[in-house]
Amino acid sequence: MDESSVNSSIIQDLVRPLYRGSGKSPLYSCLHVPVQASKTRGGVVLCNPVGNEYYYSHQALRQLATRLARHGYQVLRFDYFGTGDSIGEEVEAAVERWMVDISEMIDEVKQLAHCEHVTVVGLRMGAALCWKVVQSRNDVKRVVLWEPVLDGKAQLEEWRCQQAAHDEAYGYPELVKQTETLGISLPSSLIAEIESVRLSAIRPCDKDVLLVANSSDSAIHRVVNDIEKSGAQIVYKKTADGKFWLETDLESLVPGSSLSLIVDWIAELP
Amino acid sequence: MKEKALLIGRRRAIVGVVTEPDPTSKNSTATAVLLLNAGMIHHAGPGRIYVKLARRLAQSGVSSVRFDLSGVGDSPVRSDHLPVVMAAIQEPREVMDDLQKMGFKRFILAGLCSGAYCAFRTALEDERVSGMALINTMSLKGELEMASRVWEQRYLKTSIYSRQAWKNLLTGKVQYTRLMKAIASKLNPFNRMGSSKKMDETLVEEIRLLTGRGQKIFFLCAEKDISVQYLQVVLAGELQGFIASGMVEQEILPGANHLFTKHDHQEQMINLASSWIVQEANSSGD
Repeated sequence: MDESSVNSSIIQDLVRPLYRGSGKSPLYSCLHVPVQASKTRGGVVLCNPVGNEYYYSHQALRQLATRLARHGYQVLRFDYFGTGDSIGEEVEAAVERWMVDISEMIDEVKQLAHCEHVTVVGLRMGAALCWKVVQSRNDVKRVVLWEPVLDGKAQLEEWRCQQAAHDEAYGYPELVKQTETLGISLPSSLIAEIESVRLSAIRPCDKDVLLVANSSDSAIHRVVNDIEKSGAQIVYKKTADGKFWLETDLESLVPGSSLSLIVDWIAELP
Repeated sequence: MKEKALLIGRRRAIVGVVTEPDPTSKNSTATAVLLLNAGMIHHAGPGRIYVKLARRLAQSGVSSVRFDLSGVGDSPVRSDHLPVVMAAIQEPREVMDDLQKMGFKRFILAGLCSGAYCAFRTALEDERVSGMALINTMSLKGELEMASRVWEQRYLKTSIYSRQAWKNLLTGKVQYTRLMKAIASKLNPFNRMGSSKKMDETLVEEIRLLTGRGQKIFFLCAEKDISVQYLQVVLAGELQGFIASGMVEQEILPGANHLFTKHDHQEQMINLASSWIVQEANSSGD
């Protein structure tokens, strides 16, 4: 089914907000349900970026979920512990915990969509984290790495530069130590964890991988080669979409070509 | 504190999160708070400030719901083509209808930026609203003709004395179109004949109507935000009169900017907003 065959004007998109997950720390999530539930084609989990990128890319991820649901998928978006509407304070946020969250949400969508295999899409830091999680899971056959953060140190440096430019524009004193990114707390333990994030293949795997990025620099090609060597079938697509995850809410454009690429790739695979 | 996610509104299509005090809490109020979208930012609010505010309120016995207007955040777009300015008033009223069924009697509306506009316009239409916390309001009517006068105030009263503002001007970090419009407005001979001193009489009348009905207003402005100049322009000398009546309060948060992008400023804003809301919730005649 291609995008043009879906008449969006007559479809009322179905979204179910939920608190799911284990124990006393449930995670806020939104399940996007296909209009014709009887024709469910499987489950998809979307993994958010972190920091302010989470806010700026919210609309893009919701659009992706909506489009996939119109193609028959049950799609689960969720907030990591200590972010968005999920339980937890920012100072308690931890990369290790976020990876547990991803794993739990994969289990949740399998249960909600009554399916054995799940597709996982990660954007920015979400891509780096989900890749680490899915390599050890046999129930994830397809992975989309969307504008992935390749190196946590680079992400932190980007945030530090944004903070410095912001502080200068408002006449605020320069931060001696990196403790926040535009109002979002960065505890030192989280900084240390983010510093150690690297996108690389850590074990052999037989997954189908789509890597979507607007850059084609050598670092991207190194990661593509690395993943290919692990045995995965990787497709790399360069897009012309801008860095939408850095734009404020009113300036942010929905990255149309990336969304179409991802939806088509997921929908075309059996 | 207890949180639940739910679909609310007449069509059960508005996505929201209700934050309630612990069920064992004995000081829960019958007044609930609605947190209204700040622009296109989803219901967690910029820097998660609505989540933090909702949880702080719950600790003081006040329930709240943060939700997304149709087409914003997690809520799907409407299929009935209702204009957004009408939906922005109708949907908070539908949420109040649902909360009323849950046992709440009165409501305080709080919102940042366009959330403040939405709160103000909804309160005019609905007397169940006992108070409004209007944070960094840049418009209460959608009045575009005021924009140049507001920015003219900002540039002439504040920026002209700021070393940082001049540095921003020379390094391309200002909106030149907006600056030129403000200069043109200042040079316009018709404005110089006195019209720029005029307040917005319709808005003043609307505030009189609200306060006359007992609906209180709290203007919370960040010092580096245009809302400070906006209120000076549209309410002029009337603002002090409203404040003297005790029905309107204003706080200016030193150093803060429009979205409270410094952690310390967020904390201060949440302290100020929650203190005012808790006080009003406890005194709004449960």
